[in-house]
Amino acid sequence: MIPSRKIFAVCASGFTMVGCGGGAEVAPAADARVADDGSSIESVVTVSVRDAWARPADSGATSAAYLVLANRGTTADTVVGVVAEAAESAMVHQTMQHEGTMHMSALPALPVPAGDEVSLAPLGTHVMLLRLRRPLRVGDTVAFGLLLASGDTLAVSAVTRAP
Amino acid sequence: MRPPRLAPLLSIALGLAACVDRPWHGIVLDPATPAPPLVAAGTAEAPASRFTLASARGSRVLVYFGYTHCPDVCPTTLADWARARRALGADTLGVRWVFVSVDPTRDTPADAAAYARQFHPSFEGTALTDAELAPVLRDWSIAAYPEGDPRTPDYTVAHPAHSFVVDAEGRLRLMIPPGVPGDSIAEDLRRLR
Ligand SMILES: [Cu+2]
Repeated sequence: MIPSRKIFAVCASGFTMVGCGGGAEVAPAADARVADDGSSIESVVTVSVRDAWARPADSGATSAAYLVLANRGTTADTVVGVVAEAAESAMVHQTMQHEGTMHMSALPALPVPAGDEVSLAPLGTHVMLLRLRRPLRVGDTVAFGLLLASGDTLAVSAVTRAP
Repeated sequence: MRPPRLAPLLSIALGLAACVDRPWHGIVLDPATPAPPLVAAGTAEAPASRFTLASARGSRVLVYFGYTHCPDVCPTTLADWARARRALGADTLGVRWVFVSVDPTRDTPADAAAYARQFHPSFEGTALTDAELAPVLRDWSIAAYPEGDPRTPDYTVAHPAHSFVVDAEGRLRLMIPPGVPGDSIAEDLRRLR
């Protein structure tokens, strides 16, 4: 059993890679805004990513990546797409079991409620990486971005792990 | 959407599993009936990895119907098999682990064999041809079919959720749901001796 490692944390606000080594948690950037009545509101994009990993796969094959999304803010956000240079196509996918048969389908919107965590884990929701442009071997990292409805992109770096 | 063909088998299994003293981790098929035939003979062009269940008599056989472009459920199951195999230690003698692709459009028997070996070198893999697939689905009361456009490279394949366990006498004994940990699979296999 490979111990689960904190691989990466992502600070929201733009497509900025933040190397948060050593399992450090990165406090999400919170913009201070001024409301109509003059008081200051702490809010805005506060979704972060941790524990991202991907499955090994050959070039041209399909991999899946898993991670935990945490929204420490007061505003819900939604993952609406995936950009991945390493794959010809990428999307959030969902596995479902229906009367003894397994199915997978695209999940066009994955809500991340305020103050909540959403786990992308085996046998459930995953990031589907289709037609890989290069092989993913154990230890390799694969980078992709999660597009948020708020307009930001979360940068993710997932480490390839033996399944 | 196809009719739920596994439903009768499942309802029998769920009804009778409760009668067992110590619970099994898999779904017990009771009474155990002879496993349906499973023949993957390949074609003249792709003869690799020929497999017939009948020739495996004397071994306990795990069978999983999946496809090699399956990145979530199939690797999860085969990785649990690999953990089960490690947990069995010397008891793994007399157990065969067989991954059967139900995606004849994309998978050759050699593709399926290479895929299975990634999880453990002793795992076997084969692929059913178009002609072989239909009778297997019928005899095993299982469903497998492409979802999305099979002319594009990104279609997925609906396939059975469970692993099937056939005992040394060739009887279908257990269905192991996805997500059952390797240690639990190993326990069930030991009990089947
Ligand atoms: Cu998927």
